Amino acid sequence: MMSGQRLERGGTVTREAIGGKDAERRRAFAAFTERRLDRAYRLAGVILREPVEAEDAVHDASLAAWLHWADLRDEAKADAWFDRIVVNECRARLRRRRIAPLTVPDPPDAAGPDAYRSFVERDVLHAAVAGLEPDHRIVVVLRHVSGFSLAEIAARTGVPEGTVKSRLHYALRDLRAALEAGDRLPGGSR
Amino acid sequence: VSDERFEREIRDALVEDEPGAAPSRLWTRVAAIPDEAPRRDARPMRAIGLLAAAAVVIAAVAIAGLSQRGETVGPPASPSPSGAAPSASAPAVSPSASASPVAVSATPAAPTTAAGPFTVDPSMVQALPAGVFALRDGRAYTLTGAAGGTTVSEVELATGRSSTLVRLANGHRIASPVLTTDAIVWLETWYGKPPIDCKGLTPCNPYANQPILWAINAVRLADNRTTQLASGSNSRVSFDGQTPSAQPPAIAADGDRVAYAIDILRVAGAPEASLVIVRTISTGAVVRQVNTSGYVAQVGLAGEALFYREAQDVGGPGTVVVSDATLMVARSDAEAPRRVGDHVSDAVIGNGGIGGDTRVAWAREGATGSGVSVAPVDTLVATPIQDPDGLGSQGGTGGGRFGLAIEAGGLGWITQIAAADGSWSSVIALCRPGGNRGNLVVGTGEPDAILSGDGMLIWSGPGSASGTSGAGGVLLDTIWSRGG
Repeated sequence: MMSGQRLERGGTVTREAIGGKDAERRRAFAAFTERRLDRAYRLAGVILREPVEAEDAVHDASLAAWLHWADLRDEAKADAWFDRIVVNECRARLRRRRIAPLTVPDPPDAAGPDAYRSFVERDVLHAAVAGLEPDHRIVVVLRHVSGFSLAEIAARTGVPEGTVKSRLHYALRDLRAALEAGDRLPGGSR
Repeated sequence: VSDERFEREIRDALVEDEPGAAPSRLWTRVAAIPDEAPRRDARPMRAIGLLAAAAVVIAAVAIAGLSQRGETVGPPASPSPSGAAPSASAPAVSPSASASPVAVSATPAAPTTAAGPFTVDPSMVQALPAGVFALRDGRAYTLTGAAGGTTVSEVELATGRSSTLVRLANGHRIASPVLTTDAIVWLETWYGKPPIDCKGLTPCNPYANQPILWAINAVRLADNRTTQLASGSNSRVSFDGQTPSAQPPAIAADGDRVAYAIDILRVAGAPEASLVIVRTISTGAVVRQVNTSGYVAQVGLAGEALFYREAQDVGGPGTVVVSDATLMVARSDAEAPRRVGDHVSDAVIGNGGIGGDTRVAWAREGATGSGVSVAPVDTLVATPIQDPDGLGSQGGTGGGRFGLAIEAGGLGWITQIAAADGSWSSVIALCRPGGNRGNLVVGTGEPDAILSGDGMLIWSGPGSASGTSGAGGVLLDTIWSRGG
């Protein structure tokens, strides 16, 4: 039985009976996205630092996953496969991003020196992380937020473990340098 | 800093950006994906892919026959039991469009006394900077193309002082800039690949068959902070013309809201299906979504009131006639859009009433009649506006109407005039507050756009009355007081 669907004029999609392999494929995709969507959105949100763009990225990644569903042969690798699509989508967006979303919070108004120092540290790291090139930012997020091993990161970025290790090294070096430079700012000493 | 503390601080800094659970609108969008058809430009590849897949299957069968061993080829089994439908499969799209048309009628009123054409005297004209797209509180907001990139600027009319609000990267374009209460919202488009070499062929679109990349951005006037509200890529070619290309989304903005239409839906039997989204500018939150079966050529916003013009294919996919659309209007967030007019070529919505009420106006170009109508959004009871007298005296017969604008209770549009020799010219028509007949406004050259602001009628285009290729404006009160 062929899949059937109808769009009422000006209305929402109304599904008629959908059967056979198409129904199975839809159910599989729905179950997969139900399980994965929150996690993918969080990952994209941290990489992109902008929830609206993260939403678009995860949508586009989901669309790509649906269109390439037949390419997924090994169910055990589904998570890494989808993560890789999400990461690729985020990387593409980071690379073509021209206008950086301005989401840096305002400094506390009348807070004490501790609050100000905390703000400076956080802001310095925020700025430093935002300044990382896309590939470096992605490995930092996958390592320090998602908690993946080097091998798992390699599977999600499509590069060898050695490259992951190298990117991580240089990214952390840059972040540490930025943080130490921030220490020298007024109010930034530890 | 110890490694442990350093890594903890990195993590803390990163986690601050974690957005939390996926919003319901993302669930809705992802749930709609299986209903989307493959991209149009991917169809030939898909056909090739199907042939290749068939070849693979045949080869696999042959190999299986030879080796007496089966092998699974194809998508994996469902990764989880197909039990209760996930929440994502029940998209909660806010009020969908009403399928049944709403009777919109009005008892034709006798036309108000016809006044003669209003002739713009150059002494009345306020010269305005080229590229003006909005005027408020003595400031003009302009869009200027330059070698260094397109810019949006604010110009103080009294002093001529100009400040740049936005500068785009080379190759980026702005469409539909809108001045809202405290921001400028615009659609920015660009292409991801370099243009092809047209090799002298004309017509030629050097970006033909490329997806158009787009972003909707806003710059806050108070502090020049720029925010990206949405982004994506459009690949659907809804109307081919001589140089087929993907179209960017239609957008509109008002107050703290932006509306736009995207082509993400791929629905069997409705190749032009679109999704109209309304978000707040300040937070990006989705206020409503409306699925349409047709291509959305135009959207408009005034407070909660939303309109869109929806056009259908007339001869298969990619044959939309954007000037022949259905006008759909929703008066509030809680109300489904209703059909208000057919064969609509242009529309506008604004706080145009004397009492401040919101009005929608539209131009109809149909085989059974054409003209401009206006209706209060509260009632949607239409009042037909008579074409101006004197079109014949301009050297020909009336033609199409476009460029509708509402300001201070008045309604303006550009009407085309066909001369006996087949040439076309354009002239402004203006209907005073409460009136039901347009009057010609002559002496403005041949404007290709009109708009309004600060109580003025503003026009732009080649040969405008400001004496340049820029723009000019006349106070509407001056026109009304002199019988225009």
